[in-house]
Amino acid sequence: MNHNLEQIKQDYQNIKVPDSLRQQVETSISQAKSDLERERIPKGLGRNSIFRSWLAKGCLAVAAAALLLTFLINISAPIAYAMEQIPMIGAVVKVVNFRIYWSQDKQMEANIKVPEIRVEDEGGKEIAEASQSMNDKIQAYTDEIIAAYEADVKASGGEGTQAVDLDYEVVTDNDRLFSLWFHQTVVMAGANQSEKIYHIDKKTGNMVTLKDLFEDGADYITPISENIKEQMKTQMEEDESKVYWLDDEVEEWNFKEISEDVDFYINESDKLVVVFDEYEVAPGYMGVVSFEIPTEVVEPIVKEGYLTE
Amino acid sequence: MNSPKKQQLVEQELLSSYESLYRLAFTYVKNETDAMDIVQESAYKAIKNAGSIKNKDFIRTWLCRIVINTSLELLRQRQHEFSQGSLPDDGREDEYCDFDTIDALDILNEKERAAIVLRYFEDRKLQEVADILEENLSTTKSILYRSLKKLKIKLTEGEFCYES
Repeated sequence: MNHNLEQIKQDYQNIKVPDSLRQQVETSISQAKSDLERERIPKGLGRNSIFRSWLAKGCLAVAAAALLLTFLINISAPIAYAMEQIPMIGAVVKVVNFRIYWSQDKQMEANIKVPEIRVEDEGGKEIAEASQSMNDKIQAYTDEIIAAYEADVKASGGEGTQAVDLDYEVVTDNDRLFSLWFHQTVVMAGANQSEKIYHIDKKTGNMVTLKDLFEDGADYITPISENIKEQMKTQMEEDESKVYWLDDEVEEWNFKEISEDVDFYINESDKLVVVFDEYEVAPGYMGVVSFEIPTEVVEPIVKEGYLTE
Repeated sequence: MNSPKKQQLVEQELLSSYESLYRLAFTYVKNETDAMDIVQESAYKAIKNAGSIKNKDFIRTWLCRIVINTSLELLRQRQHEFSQGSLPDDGREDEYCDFDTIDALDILNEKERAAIVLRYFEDRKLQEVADILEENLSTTKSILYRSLKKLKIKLTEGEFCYES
Protein backbone atom coordinates (compact mmCIF):
# COMPACT_ATOMS: atom_id res chain seq x y z
CA MET A 1 0.00 0.00 0.00
CA ASN A 2 2.61 2.46 -1.04
CA HIS A 3 0.52 5.30 -2.31
CA ASN A 4 2.18 8.38 -3.38
CA LEU A 5 0.80 11.58 -1.93
CA GLU A 6 0.51 13.19 -5.34
CA GLN A 7 -1.59 10.29 -6.55
CA ILE A 8 -3.99 10.61 -3.64
CA LYS A 9 -4.13 14.34 -4.16
CA GLN A 10 -4.95 13.79 -7.80
CA ASP A 11 -7.84 11.54 -6.90
CA TYR A 12 -8.94 13.95 -4.25
CA GLN A 13 -9.11 16.74 -6.79
CA ASN A 14 -10.94 14.45 -9.17
CA ILE A 15 -13.78 13.94 -6.72
CA LYS A 16 -16.62 15.18 -8.83
CA VAL A 17 -18.68 17.90 -7.25
CA PRO A 18 -22.33 17.49 -8.30
CA ASP A 19 -23.63 20.34 -10.42
CA SER A 20 -26.68 20.76 -8.25
CA LEU A 21 -24.62 21.40 -5.13
CA ARG A 22 -24.30 25.13 -5.58
CA GLN A 23 -28.02 25.57 -5.84
CA GLN A 24 -28.56 23.41 -2.79
CA VAL A 25 -26.08 25.41 -0.78
CA GLU A 26 -27.93 28.56 -1.81
CA THR A 27 -31.20 26.99 -0.68
CA SER A 28 -29.68 26.10 2.69
CA ILE A 29 -28.42 29.65 3.07
CA SER A 30 -31.79 31.22 2.38
CA GLN A 31 -33.51 28.63 4.58
CA ALA A 32 -31.19 29.54 7.45
CA LYS A 33 -31.77 33.22 6.86
CA SER A 34 -35.53 32.94 6.91
CA ASP A 35 -35.41 30.75 10.02
CA LEU A 36 -33.22 33.37 11.66
CA GLU A 37 -35.67 36.07 10.70
CA ARG A 38 -38.49 34.19 12.37
CA GLU A 39 -36.49 33.63 15.51
CA ARG A 40 -35.21 37.15 15.70
CA ILE A 41 -36.43 37.84 19.23
CA PRO A 42 -35.10 34.83 21.10
CA LYS A 43 -31.94 34.28 19.16
CA GLY A 44 -29.43 31.50 18.96
CA LEU A 45 -31.45 28.34 19.25
CA GLY A 46 -30.26 25.19 17.57
CA ARG A 47 -31.76 23.86 14.41
CA ASN A 48 -33.20 20.65 15.71
CA SER A 49 -34.52 22.27 18.79
CA ILE A 50 -37.98 21.54 20.05
CA PHE A 51 -38.13 25.27 20.60
CA ARG A 52 -38.60 25.77 16.91
CA SER A 53 -42.03 24.27 16.85
CA TRP A 54 -43.00 26.20 19.93
CA LEU A 55 -41.86 29.38 18.29
CA ALA A 56 -43.91 28.65 15.25
CA LYS A 57 -46.92 28.46 17.51
CA GLY A 58 -46.08 31.83 18.90
CA CYS A 59 -44.84 30.93 22.36
CA LEU A 60 -42.17 33.59 22.18
CA ALA A 61 -42.30 34.59 25.82
CA VAL A 62 -41.82 31.04 27.02
CA ALA A 63 -38.86 30.34 24.80
CA ALA A 64 -37.14 33.59 25.58
CA ALA A 65 -37.26 32.83 29.26
CA ALA A 66 -36.31 29.21 28.93
CA LEU A 67 -33.02 29.08 27.09
CA LEU A 68 -31.80 26.19 29.10
CA LEU A 69 -34.24 23.50 30.02
CA THR A 70 -33.58 20.24 31.72
CA PHE A 71 -36.20 17.56 31.87
CA LEU A 72 -36.35 14.38 33.79
CA ILE A 73 -39.19 12.58 32.10
CA ASN A 74 -40.70 9.53 33.65
CA ILE A 75 -42.17 7.49 30.92
CA SER A 76 -45.10 5.71 32.43
CA ALA A 77 -44.02 2.47 34.02
CA PRO A 78 -46.51 0.14 32.29
CA ILE A 79 -45.33 1.17 28.85
CA ALA A 80 -41.65 0.73 29.62
CA TYR A 81 -42.49 -2.52 31.35
CA ALA A 82 -44.24 -3.91 28.32
CA MET A 83 -41.32 -2.87 26.12
CA GLU A 84 -38.58 -4.50 28.13
CA GLN A 85 -40.02 -7.45 29.95
CA ILE A 86 -38.31 -10.71 29.24
CA PRO A 87 -39.83 -13.97 30.45
CA MET A 88 -37.36 -15.97 32.51
CA ILE A 89 -36.91 -19.17 34.39
CA GLY A 90 -35.68 -18.65 37.93
CA ALA A 91 -34.90 -15.12 38.94
CA VAL A 92 -36.23 -12.49 36.59
CA VAL A 93 -34.39 -9.31 35.84
CA LYS A 94 -36.03 -6.66 33.76
CA VAL A 95 -35.92 -3.03 32.87
CA VAL A 96 -39.13 -1.72 34.38
CA ASN A 97 -38.80 1.95 33.77
CA PHE A 98 -36.48 4.51 32.35
CA ARG A 99 -35.99 8.18 32.80
CA ILE A 100 -34.57 10.56 30.27
CA TYR A 101 -32.28 13.38 31.20
CA TRP A 102 -32.61 15.80 28.37
CA SER A 103 -31.06 19.19 28.00
CA GLN A 104 -30.58 21.44 25.05
CA ASP A 105 -29.20 24.90 24.69
CA LYS A 106 -27.81 26.41 21.51
CA GLN A 107 -25.14 23.97 20.31
CA MET A 108 -25.10 21.91 23.48
CA GLU A 109 -27.25 18.90 23.92
CA ALA A 110 -27.55 15.92 26.22
CA ASN A 111 -29.83 12.95 25.86
CA ILE A 112 -29.22 10.43 28.59
CA LYS A 113 -31.38 7.39 29.21
CA VAL A 114 -31.35 6.06 32.74
CA PRO A 115 -32.93 2.61 33.00
CA GLU A 116 -34.29 1.24 36.22
CA ILE A 117 -34.14 -2.48 36.73
CA ARG A 118 -36.04 -4.81 38.98
CA VAL A 119 -34.89 -8.22 40.16
CA GLU A 120 -37.63 -10.66 41.13
CA ASP A 121 -37.64 -14.17 42.47
CA GLU A 122 -39.66 -16.91 40.80
CA GLY A 123 -42.83 -15.86 42.58
CA GLY A 124 -42.58 -12.32 41.23
CA LYS A 125 -41.53 -10.82 44.54
CA GLU A 126 -38.88 -8.17 44.24
CA ILE A 127 -35.44 -8.92 45.62
CA ALA A 128 -35.02 -5.36 46.74
CA GLU A 129 -31.38 -5.56 47.69
CA ALA A 130 -30.37 -6.89 44.29
CA SER A 131 -32.43 -4.30 42.41
CA GLN A 132 -31.00 -1.55 44.51
CA SER A 133 -27.36 -2.47 44.13
CA MET A 134 -27.68 -2.55 40.34
CA ASN A 135 -29.73 0.65 40.20
CA ASP A 136 -27.26 2.44 42.45
CA LYS A 137 -24.41 1.45 40.14
CA ILE A 138 -26.34 2.61 37.10
CA GLN A 139 -27.22 5.89 38.68
CA ALA A 140 -23.69 6.58 39.88
CA TYR A 141 -22.55 6.01 36.31
CA THR A 142 -25.19 8.21 34.67
CA ASP A 143 -24.83 10.93 37.33
CA GLU A 144 -21.18 11.14 36.48
CA ILE A 145 -21.96 11.63 32.78
CA ILE A 146 -24.60 14.26 33.55
CA ALA A 147 -22.28 16.09 35.92
CA ALA A 148 -19.51 16.15 33.31
CA TYR A 149 -21.92 17.58 30.75
CA GLU A 150 -23.25 20.22 33.13
CA ALA A 151 -19.72 21.21 34.07
CA ASP A 152 -18.93 21.69 30.36
CA VAL A 153 -22.05 23.82 29.88
CA LYS A 154 -21.05 25.98 32.81
CA ALA A 155 -17.42 26.26 31.75
CA SER A 156 -18.31 27.38 28.25
CA GLY A 157 -21.09 29.68 29.40
CA GLY A 158 -23.44 27.65 27.21
CA GLU A 159 -21.46 28.66 24.11
CA GLY A 160 -19.78 25.32 23.55
CA THR A 161 -20.50 22.69 20.94
CA GLN A 162 -21.19 19.32 22.40
CA ALA A 163 -23.64 16.48 22.14
CA VAL A 164 -23.77 13.71 24.70
CA ASP A 165 -25.89 10.68 24.08
CA LEU A 166 -26.33 7.67 26.32
CA ASP A 167 -28.38 4.68 25.33
CA TYR A 168 -28.50 1.12 26.58
CA GLU A 169 -29.47 -2.36 25.50
CA VAL A 170 -29.89 -5.71 27.19
CA VAL A 171 -26.98 -7.55 25.66
CA THR A 172 -27.15 -10.81 27.61
CA ASP A 173 -30.11 -12.42 29.30
CA ASN A 174 -29.52 -16.11 29.71
CA ASP A 175 -30.12 -18.50 32.59
CA ARG A 176 -27.27 -17.11 34.54
CA LEU A 177 -26.51 -13.53 33.59
CA PHE A 178 -28.37 -10.37 32.83
CA SER A 179 -26.18 -7.68 31.27
CA LEU A 180 -26.93 -4.10 30.36
CA TRP A 181 -24.71 -2.45 27.81
CA PHE A 182 -24.44 1.34 27.83
CA HIS A 183 -23.31 3.22 24.75
CA GLN A 184 -22.08 6.69 25.40
CA THR A 185 -21.25 9.05 22.56
CA VAL A 186 -19.73 12.46 23.05
CA VAL A 187 -19.40 14.71 20.04
CA MET A 188 -17.24 17.79 20.39
CA ALA A 189 -14.41 18.61 18.01
CA GLY A 190 -14.46 14.89 17.23
CA ALA A 191 -16.74 12.08 18.22
CA ASN A 192 -15.84 9.73 20.99
CA GLN A 193 -17.62 6.59 21.92
CA SER A 194 -17.30 4.71 25.16
CA GLU A 195 -19.01 1.65 26.49
CA LYS A 196 -19.95 0.31 29.87
CA ILE A 197 -21.60 -3.02 30.65
CA TYR A 198 -23.12 -4.03 33.96
CA HIS A 199 -23.94 -7.61 34.91
CA ILE A 200 -26.08 -9.22 37.50
CA ASP A 201 -25.86 -12.89 38.46
CA LYS A 202 -29.35 -14.31 38.50
CA LYS A 203 -28.39 -17.10 40.86
CA THR A 204 -26.94 -14.89 43.54
CA GLY A 205 -28.39 -11.48 42.75
CA ASN A 206 -24.87 -10.02 42.90
CA MET A 207 -23.22 -7.67 40.47
CA VAL A 208 -20.62 -9.51 38.48
CA THR A 209 -17.26 -8.32 37.18
CA LEU A 210 -14.91 -10.24 34.92
CA LYS A 211 -12.94 -11.52 37.89
CA ASP A 212 -16.07 -13.16 39.32
CA LEU A 213 -16.37 -15.46 36.33
CA PHE A 214 -13.15 -17.20 37.31
CA GLU A 215 -11.87 -19.27 40.21
CA ASP A 216 -10.57 -17.18 43.08
CA GLY A 217 -6.99 -16.13 42.58
CA ALA A 218 -6.76 -17.54 39.05
CA ASP A 219 -4.84 -15.52 36.47
CA TYR A 220 -7.42 -14.76 33.83
CA ILE A 221 -5.76 -11.58 32.61
CA THR A 222 -2.78 -13.26 30.92
CA PRO A 223 -4.57 -15.94 28.87
CA ILE A 224 -7.27 -13.51 27.71
CA SER A 225 -4.77 -10.76 26.85
CA GLU A 226 -2.51 -13.13 24.97
CA ASN A 227 -5.44 -14.44 22.98
CA ILE A 228 -6.53 -10.91 22.09
CA LYS A 229 -3.02 -10.06 20.93
CA GLU A 230 -3.01 -13.11 18.68
CA GLN A 231 -6.37 -12.13 17.23
CA MET A 232 -5.16 -8.57 16.62
CA LYS A 233 -2.10 -9.90 14.83
CA THR A 234 -4.06 -12.30 12.66
CA GLN A 235 -6.62 -9.68 11.75
CA MET A 236 -3.94 -7.19 10.75
CA GLU A 237 -2.15 -9.79 8.65
CA GLU A 238 -5.33 -10.78 6.87
CA ASP A 239 -6.73 -7.32 6.33
CA GLU A 240 -4.51 -4.34 5.69
CA SER A 241 -7.23 -1.87 6.59
CA LYS A 242 -7.27 -3.07 10.17
CA VAL A 243 -4.95 -1.49 12.66
CA TYR A 244 -4.51 -2.25 16.32
CA TRP A 245 -1.92 -0.67 18.52
CA LEU A 246 0.22 -3.69 19.13
CA ASP A 247 3.67 -2.87 17.81
CA ASP A 248 3.27 0.82 17.30
CA GLU A 249 6.35 2.98 17.67
CA VAL A 250 4.49 4.94 20.32
CA GLU A 251 5.14 2.40 23.04
CA GLU A 252 2.63 3.80 25.52
CA TRP A 253 -0.27 3.22 23.10
CA ASN A 254 0.42 -0.43 22.69
CA PHE A 255 -2.01 -2.93 24.05
CA LYS A 256 -0.33 -4.94 26.76
CA GLU A 257 -3.05 -6.54 28.77
CA ILE A 258 -6.72 -6.12 29.65
CA SER A 259 -7.54 -4.20 32.78
CA GLU A 260 -9.48 -5.82 35.59
CA ASP A 261 -12.54 -3.71 34.84
CA VAL A 262 -12.52 -4.23 31.07
CA ASP A 263 -16.00 -4.39 29.54
CA PHE A 264 -17.29 -7.78 28.48
CA TYR A 265 -20.43 -9.73 27.83
CA ILE A 266 -21.46 -13.28 27.13
CA ASN A 267 -22.81 -13.66 23.62
CA GLU A 268 -25.51 -15.94 22.28
CA SER A 269 -23.11 -18.82 21.79
CA ASP A 270 -22.04 -18.53 25.44
CA LYS A 271 -18.66 -17.12 24.54
CA LEU A 272 -16.91 -14.40 26.47
CA VAL A 273 -16.59 -11.21 24.42
CA VAL A 274 -14.21 -8.45 25.49
CA VAL A 275 -15.12 -4.92 24.39
CA PHE A 276 -12.78 -1.95 24.02
CA ASP A 277 -13.71 1.71 23.77
CA GLU A 278 -12.90 3.73 20.73
CA TYR A 279 -9.20 4.73 20.79
CA GLU A 280 -8.47 2.26 23.58
CA VAL A 281 -6.58 -0.29 21.50
CA ALA A 282 -6.93 1.01 17.95
CA PRO A 283 -7.15 4.21 15.92
CA GLY A 284 -10.48 6.00 15.99
CA TYR A 285 -11.69 4.81 12.61
CA MET A 286 -11.81 1.24 13.96
CA GLY A 287 -14.54 2.37 16.35
CA VAL A 288 -15.51 0.23 19.31
CA VAL A 289 -13.79 -3.13 18.87
CA SER A 290 -14.56 -6.47 20.45
CA PHE A 291 -12.94 -9.90 20.62
CA GLU A 292 -14.65 -13.21 21.15
CA ILE A 293 -12.49 -15.35 23.40
CA PRO A 294 -12.51 -19.08 22.54
CA THR A 295 -13.73 -20.89 25.62
CA GLU A 296 -10.78 -23.31 25.70
CA VAL A 297 -8.51 -20.36 26.52
CA VAL A 298 -10.17 -19.90 29.90
CA GLU A 299 -11.70 -23.33 30.37
CA PRO A 300 -9.39 -24.47 33.20
CA ILE A 301 -10.22 -21.47 35.38
CA VAL A 302 -13.77 -20.47 34.57
CA LYS A 303 -16.43 -21.10 37.21
CA GLU A 304 -19.23 -23.40 36.26
CA GLY A 305 -22.35 -22.05 34.64
CA TYR A 306 -21.06 -18.84 33.08
CA LEU A 307 -19.76 -19.95 29.71
CA THR A 308 -22.01 -22.96 29.26
CA GLU A 309 -25.69 -23.51 29.26
CA MET B 1 -18.65 43.84 12.47
CA ASN B 2 -22.42 43.57 12.91
CA SER B 3 -24.48 40.44 12.39
CA PRO B 4 -25.80 41.04 8.85
CA LYS B 5 -22.25 41.83 7.79
CA LYS B 6 -20.94 38.60 9.31
CA GLN B 7 -23.72 36.68 7.65
CA GLN B 8 -22.80 38.17 4.32
CA LEU B 9 -19.15 37.24 4.74
CA VAL B 10 -20.06 33.67 5.67
CA GLU B 11 -22.32 33.47 2.64
CA GLN B 12 -19.56 34.68 0.33
CA GLU B 13 -17.11 32.19 1.76
CA LEU B 14 -19.64 29.36 1.44
CA LEU B 15 -20.28 30.14 -2.20
CA SER B 16 -16.61 30.35 -3.01
CA SER B 17 -15.47 27.27 -1.12
CA TYR B 18 -18.40 24.87 -1.21
CA GLU B 19 -16.53 22.63 -3.64
CA SER B 20 -13.60 22.05 -1.35
CA LEU B 21 -15.98 21.64 1.60
CA TYR B 22 -17.72 18.94 -0.43
CA ARG B 23 -14.45 17.13 -1.10
CA LEU B 24 -13.53 17.32 2.56
CA ALA B 25 -16.88 15.79 3.53
CA PHE B 26 -16.45 13.17 0.82
CA THR B 27 -13.21 11.90 2.35
CA TYR B 28 -15.23 11.03 5.45
CA VAL B 29 -18.47 9.64 4.05
CA LYS B 30 -17.28 8.42 0.62
CA ASN B 31 -20.53 8.92 -1.20
CA GLU B 32 -22.22 11.71 -3.05
CA THR B 33 -25.57 11.79 -1.26
CA ASP B 34 -24.14 12.03 2.22
CA ALA B 35 -21.45 14.49 1.24
CA MET B 36 -24.09 16.77 -0.29
CA ASP B 37 -26.24 16.52 2.81
CA ILE B 38 -23.29 17.45 4.97
CA VAL B 39 -22.45 20.51 2.93
CA GLN B 40 -26.04 21.68 3.00
CA GLU B 41 -26.38 21.05 6.69
CA SER B 42 -23.10 22.84 7.32
CA ALA B 43 -24.15 25.82 5.23
CA TYR B 44 -27.33 26.05 7.25
CA LYS B 45 -25.49 25.84 10.57
CA ALA B 46 -22.92 28.39 9.43
CA ILE B 47 -25.46 31.03 8.45
CA LYS B 48 -27.51 30.40 11.57
CA ASN B 49 -24.48 30.87 13.78
CA ALA B 50 -22.69 33.54 11.79
CA GLY B 51 -23.36 35.98 14.62
CA SER B 52 -20.97 34.12 16.89
CA ILE B 53 -17.93 34.79 14.68
CA LYS B 54 -15.46 37.13 16.25
CA ASN B 55 -12.76 37.36 13.65
CA LYS B 56 -13.57 37.35 9.95
CA ASP B 57 -10.19 35.82 9.10
CA PHE B 58 -11.35 32.65 10.77
CA ILE B 59 -14.45 32.10 8.69
CA ARG B 60 -12.77 29.62 6.38
CA THR B 61 -11.25 27.72 9.29
CA TRP B 62 -14.56 27.72 11.06
CA LEU B 63 -16.43 26.35 8.04
CA CYS B 64 -13.99 23.45 7.75
CA ARG B 65 -14.52 22.64 11.37
CA ILE B 66 -18.30 22.62 10.93
CA VAL B 67 -18.00 20.27 7.95
CA ILE B 68 -15.73 17.89 9.85
CA ASN B 69 -18.00 17.86 12.88
CA THR B 70 -21.09 17.34 10.77
CA SER B 71 -19.42 14.46 8.92
CA LEU B 72 -18.44 12.79 12.15
CA GLU B 73 -21.89 13.27 13.54
CA LEU B 74 -23.37 11.50 10.54
CA LEU B 75 -20.87 8.66 10.76
CA ARG B 76 -21.62 8.30 14.44
CA GLN B 77 -25.36 8.09 13.78
CA ARG B 78 -24.77 5.53 11.08
CA GLN B 79 -22.60 3.44 13.32
CA HIS B 80 -25.24 3.62 16.00
CA GLU B 81 -27.94 2.46 13.61
CA PHE B 82 -25.83 -0.45 12.40
CA SER B 83 -24.55 -1.48 15.77
CA GLN B 84 -27.77 -2.56 17.36
CA GLY B 85 -26.67 -6.04 18.23
CA SER B 86 -23.45 -6.58 16.38
CA LEU B 87 -20.69 -4.14 15.65
CA PRO B 88 -19.76 -3.43 12.05
CA ASP B 89 -16.20 -4.05 10.98
CA ASP B 90 -16.19 -0.60 9.58
CA GLY B 91 -18.84 1.75 8.24
CA ARG B 92 -17.56 2.08 4.75
CA GLU B 93 -19.96 2.91 1.95
CA ASP B 94 -18.96 1.38 -1.34
CA GLU B 95 -21.36 3.07 -3.71
CA TYR B 96 -18.90 5.58 -5.09
CA CYS B 97 -15.71 3.93 -4.05
CA ASP B 98 -13.78 3.99 -7.28
CA PHE B 99 -11.14 6.11 -5.54
CA ASP B 100 -8.79 3.43 -4.31
CA THR B 101 -6.20 5.85 -3.18
CA ILE B 102 -8.68 7.90 -1.18
CA ASP B 103 -9.57 4.73 0.66
CA ALA B 104 -5.95 4.67 1.71
CA LEU B 105 -6.86 7.56 4.02
CA ASP B 106 -9.05 5.16 6.01
CA ILE B 107 -6.01 4.09 7.90
CA LEU B 108 -5.89 7.53 9.52
CA ASN B 109 -8.02 8.66 12.43
CA GLU B 110 -10.28 11.70 12.13
CA LYS B 111 -7.69 14.28 13.07
CA GLU B 112 -4.95 12.75 10.98
CA ARG B 113 -7.19 12.58 7.95
CA ALA B 114 -8.27 16.20 8.29
CA ALA B 115 -4.65 17.22 8.73
CA ILE B 116 -3.50 15.45 5.55
CA VAL B 117 -6.42 16.66 3.44
CA LEU B 118 -6.13 20.25 4.54
CA ARG B 119 -2.37 20.55 4.47
CA TYR B 120 -1.51 18.65 1.33
CA PHE B 121 -4.67 18.57 -0.79
CA GLU B 122 -6.16 21.91 0.08
CA ASP B 123 -2.75 23.52 0.53
CA ARG B 124 -3.66 25.23 3.75
CA LYS B 125 -0.95 26.79 5.85
CA LEU B 126 0.27 24.78 8.79
CA GLN B 127 -1.08 27.40 11.20
CA GLU B 128 -4.50 27.20 9.60
CA VAL B 129 -4.55 23.42 9.87
CA ALA B 130 -3.62 23.78 13.53
CA ASP B 131 -6.50 26.21 14.05
CA ILE B 132 -8.99 23.87 12.43
CA LEU B 133 -7.81 20.95 14.51
CA GLU B 134 -7.68 23.12 17.61
CA GLU B 135 -4.13 21.99 18.27
CA ASN B 136 -0.88 23.89 18.60
CA LEU B 137 1.70 23.99 15.83
CA SER B 138 4.03 21.34 17.13
CA THR B 139 1.22 18.88 17.85
CA THR B 140 -0.13 19.49 14.35
CA LYS B 141 3.32 18.82 12.90
CA SER B 142 3.56 15.57 14.77
CA ILE B 143 0.05 14.55 13.69
CA LEU B 144 1.09 15.16 10.08
CA TYR B 145 4.34 13.32 10.57
CA ARG B 146 2.60 10.36 12.13
CA SER B 147 -0.04 10.34 9.37
CA LEU B 148 2.52 10.33 6.60
CA LYS B 149 4.29 7.51 8.31
CA LYS B 150 1.07 5.57 8.51
CA LEU B 151 0.47 6.18 4.83
CA LYS B 152 4.01 4.99 4.26
CA ILE B 153 4.80 8.10 2.35
CA LYS B 154 8.33 9.24 2.62
CA LEU B 155 8.96 12.91 2.23
CA THR B 156 12.26 14.51 2.82
CA GLU B 157 12.68 16.74 5.82
CA GLY B 158 12.80 19.78 3.55
CA GLU B 159 9.52 19.03 1.88
CA PHE B 160 7.83 18.45 5.18
CA CYS B 161 8.82 21.80 6.61
CA TYR B 162 7.91 23.68 3.49
CA GLU B 163 5.39 26.45 4.10
CA SER B 164 3.19 27.53 1.23
